[in-house]
Amino acid sequence: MKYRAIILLLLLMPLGAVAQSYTISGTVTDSRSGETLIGATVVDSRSGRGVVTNPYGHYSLTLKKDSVDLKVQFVGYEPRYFRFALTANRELNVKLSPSVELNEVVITAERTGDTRSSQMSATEMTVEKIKSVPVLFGEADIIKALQLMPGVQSGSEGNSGMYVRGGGPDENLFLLDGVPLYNVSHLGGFFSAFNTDAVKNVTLYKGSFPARFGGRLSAVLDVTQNNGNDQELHGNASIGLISAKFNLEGPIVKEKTTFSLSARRTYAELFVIPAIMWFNDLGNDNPAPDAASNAKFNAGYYFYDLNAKLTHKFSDKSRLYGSFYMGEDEVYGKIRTVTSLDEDMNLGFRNRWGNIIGALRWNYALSPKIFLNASASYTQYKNNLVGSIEKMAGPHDPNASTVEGDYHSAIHDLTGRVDFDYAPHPSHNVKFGASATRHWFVPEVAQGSVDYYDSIQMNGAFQMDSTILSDTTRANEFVAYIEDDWSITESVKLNAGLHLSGFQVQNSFYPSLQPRISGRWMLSDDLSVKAGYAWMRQYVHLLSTTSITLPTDLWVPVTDRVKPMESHQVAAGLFYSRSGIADFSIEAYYKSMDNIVEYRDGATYFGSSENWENLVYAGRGWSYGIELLVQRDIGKLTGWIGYTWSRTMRLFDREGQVINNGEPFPAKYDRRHDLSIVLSYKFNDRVDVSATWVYSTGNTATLPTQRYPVATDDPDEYDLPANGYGVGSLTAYEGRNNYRMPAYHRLDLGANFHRVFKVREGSRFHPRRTINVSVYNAYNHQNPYMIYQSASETYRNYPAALVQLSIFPILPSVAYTLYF
Amino acid sequence: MNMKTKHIFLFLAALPILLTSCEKVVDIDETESQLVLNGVPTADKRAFVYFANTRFFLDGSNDHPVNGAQLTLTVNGVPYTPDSVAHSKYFFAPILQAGDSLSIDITTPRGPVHAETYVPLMPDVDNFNIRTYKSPTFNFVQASFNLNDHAGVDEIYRVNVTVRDSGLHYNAWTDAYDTIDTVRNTYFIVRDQAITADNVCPYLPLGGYLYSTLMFLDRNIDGQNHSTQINILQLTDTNEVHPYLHQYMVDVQSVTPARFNYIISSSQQNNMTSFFTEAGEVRGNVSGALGVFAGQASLRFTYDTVTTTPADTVVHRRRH
Repeated sequence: MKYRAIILLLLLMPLGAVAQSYTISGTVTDSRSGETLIGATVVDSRSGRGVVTNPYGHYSLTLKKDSVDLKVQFVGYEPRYFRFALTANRELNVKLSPSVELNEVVITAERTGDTRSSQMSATEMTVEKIKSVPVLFGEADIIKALQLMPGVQSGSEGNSGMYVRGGGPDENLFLLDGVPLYNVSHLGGFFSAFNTDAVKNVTLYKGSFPARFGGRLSAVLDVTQNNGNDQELHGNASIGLISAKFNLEGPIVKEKTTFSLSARRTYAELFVIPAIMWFNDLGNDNPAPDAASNAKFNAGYYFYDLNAKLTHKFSDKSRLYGSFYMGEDEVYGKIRTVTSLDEDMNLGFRNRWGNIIGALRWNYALSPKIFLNASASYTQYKNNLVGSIEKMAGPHDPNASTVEGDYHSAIHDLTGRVDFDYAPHPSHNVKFGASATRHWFVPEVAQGSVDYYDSIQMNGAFQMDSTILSDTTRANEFVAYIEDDWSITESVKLNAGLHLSGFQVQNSFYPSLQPRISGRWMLSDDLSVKAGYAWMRQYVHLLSTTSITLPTDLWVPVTDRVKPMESHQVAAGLFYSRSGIADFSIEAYYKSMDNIVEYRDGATYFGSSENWENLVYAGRGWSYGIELLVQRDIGKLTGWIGYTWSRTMRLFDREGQVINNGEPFPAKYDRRHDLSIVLSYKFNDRVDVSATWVYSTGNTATLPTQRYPVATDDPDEYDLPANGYGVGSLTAYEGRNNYRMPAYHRLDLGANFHRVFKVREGSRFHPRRTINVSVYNAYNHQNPYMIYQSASETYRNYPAALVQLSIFPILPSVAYTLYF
Repeated sequence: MNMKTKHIFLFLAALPILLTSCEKVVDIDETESQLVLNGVPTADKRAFVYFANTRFFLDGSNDHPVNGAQLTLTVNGVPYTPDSVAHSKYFFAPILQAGDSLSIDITTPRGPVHAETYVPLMPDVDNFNIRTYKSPTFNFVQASFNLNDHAGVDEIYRVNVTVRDSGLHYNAWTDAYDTIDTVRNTYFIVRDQAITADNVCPYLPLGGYLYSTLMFLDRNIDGQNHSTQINILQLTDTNEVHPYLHQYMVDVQSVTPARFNYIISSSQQNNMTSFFTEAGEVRGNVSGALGVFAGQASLRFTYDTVTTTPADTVVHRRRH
């Protein structure tokens, strides 16, 4: 009943439109590149009404019949003013000119988290801001920059997983041009899949989710790719310590059709070549009869990304976008050896994993008040592992034996979606839409073939081909939503919405109606208080190790037995903006989670898709915390200080699904304190420097406390020698995640050296370069990556010890970027 | 070389040291020991329990006795005190029989310890066969038998395969030389159904993919004739193993539910040697202490491999 009342209220809101109002609509773009500007504000200073441009740069502002005094602005651009009498609907496309040169470090203010927006718990970041942060291996990374914001934690050292307000890494929805990306990690999580050169805008929602988003519990990261310059060809090329990349964009038909193309590839495998040569030469120097010393091996790793976007403008009202992303990692190895029977043996493996997404999107302004966005998209994540063993008497042995195995897993989504922006009234800005998605989950397919020839034992050949574990699960997901950004009074604004979703899988259909609401109350011109509530539901789980990102991580859907995860989050905060000085905010949140899954005691992750329901238990969780943010975006010294105090707990006490004896226990990434200080100082147009210091309470881990022998019916077995590691002993724990690792802290330093090259008069190109020098972990603090028990170390009088492994000591890097 | 150049060289020289110091021993607090009671009362065997203190998990030493403990074992209502004590093992007089009911009470300065159990009925096994096959590089042992259910009794069976070597060999797990090893590469076939790792219930193979223990509930075997045939196929694919193999042993056991839970959970914990496995507690049934006090009845079938003809030999032997 309460849902019906909310729906009715939302539907009636636009009907409150008064007569004699007209709509100003159009697109706000960059005057030099034609790139649409997301989040630009269009405000009538007479009435105080205003809107921000949507993800396609479009706005629609309905005002009463009157003279208007319009101000269009976007941070980093010169504002423009328009004064006219509004006597009819009017189309107004606005081009803004950058107020500073792009080769400078431009720091922009937050849009969605500022004092005036009704949205809270959101962070918007420009690419320039991301690039101003000191980086690992010279590679700027979106997710690593976001990890420095309050409420967002990194999993482990260098990892690009995000843990937002107590949620796991699988509880985040990553959207690239509106299309979900299932695996956003390269190189075990040390880099994200987002190439900053291809990106225009990044917005992270940590709570108070607008109704148009759904499907994950904890966060939505909305990344928009560049459309491409519609005036002239531009680009950049960059070379760093382990990767190189380029970006090229420009018009195909001036002011009509544009393209943007970015590519990135690592060449870390080059660094291991000397080590491989050294190893392979060992056998030559010390010829020995055993196979190990005769072994020759080759191995390597690389990843690449390709981002492409094509945009065509049919008219000012109609645009078509084609987006494409492809990214892949590959690790490979080959060992050639000679067996004791003087046979050649070749062992090889190759593991490839990556995403492909494609989207076709059409924008059309149906009327000055209604903007349509229709899209069809496809996303895929695939992991493929191939291994082979080949045994032969010589290079052309007709009786060679081979054993080959092929293992792959995948997820495919095909989605159709339609969204509308509707501005019926000066006080209302309504968004509504619907989508349908077909999911194909292929958790594991294993194929094997054996072609075996053994003249001695089997006196002939043996052949076999087989496929196992090939089940595909199909599921359908439906979404409809409506939200209204309602200016109730000059100082009170409300964003209310409903997200309706349904997930059909196996013999079950899971419907859900999720209310979302957030509001803002301006206490003064620069001080506001905000509050929000969001109910979220998630229909997919990630089967994964809990500490590192691996290509073997598997996405699986909810089933008849494993129910969807749900969360309820409330948040409230105080926002203060001191013009020209800094912005301050403090937010408090409480989030409860239900049906979250954890591996049961003793569950093994590998090969876990079969009967995976048996490996997990469902339970509850809750997280609460306070986030403080102080940031300064103006002047020579810019940056922010973010601090989070939080607590995240899990409880698994359901019958037959008990973990930790049914007692609450801290989540793996429960951290009491998380502090980030990010500072940039611009000396002049040629040099700027930056520093980042992070501190966080250590992660939790489950460590044994005591050891005791296995029960046996043979009394003599108790007298066998024991050193604490044999199958003859068991370990006792004082609960899951009973150990707190040492605190994590790190200082990163960076400097950018810019130079503009002189060119002849009238040249179309204005080349400039930036040299970036970064030092990661400048004071070489040994931060814990993992802790393991080692028999080769001793501790006090004990024959073994716990050893902390740190993976990133001080790491200097340099990157050179040429812009043209 | 000027001062600046010297500093650069010094920095470059120090860099490899900085880059390689990535491991260090963690300082941890020693936790307080707990009591542990292990007892597996077995049919036709003398009763004994192991009662001791647990040790700090980094401690490699064996015996941490409990001082001042008073133990009383009650068998079918008759109390017994220990006859002898050696290395925390407490031996009692009675030879246990299938169907015995037991409880144990221990008083210690750290509080009381109590547990109860029973000795299950002996498994009813017939037609036990062992067949070996040998070639220069390829060997296997196949054992098969019929397991007959006791009518009206829910029973849990465990089949375990081990070998006894002719000589001492180094066991990397226990860091010692011993003569008993668990057979690897073992496959169980119950009523023509091969038991694989994903066939968790009703048949539960333990020990990972190369398991050597099979556990199952009798009501899951066959509700009609209460009998099933079990085949065990064990491959030894190299010459290096077989010459040392002296005795091949198959244990067929009836176990109590507490023993069943204990074996499953301890097996899961042993899987934790893998980095990819979640830690887990072992499930016991003792109040006031860790461990288990749970009965079993066991039949052992032993095959002396060195005394038989190597090729295509079929033997029928039941040695208890």
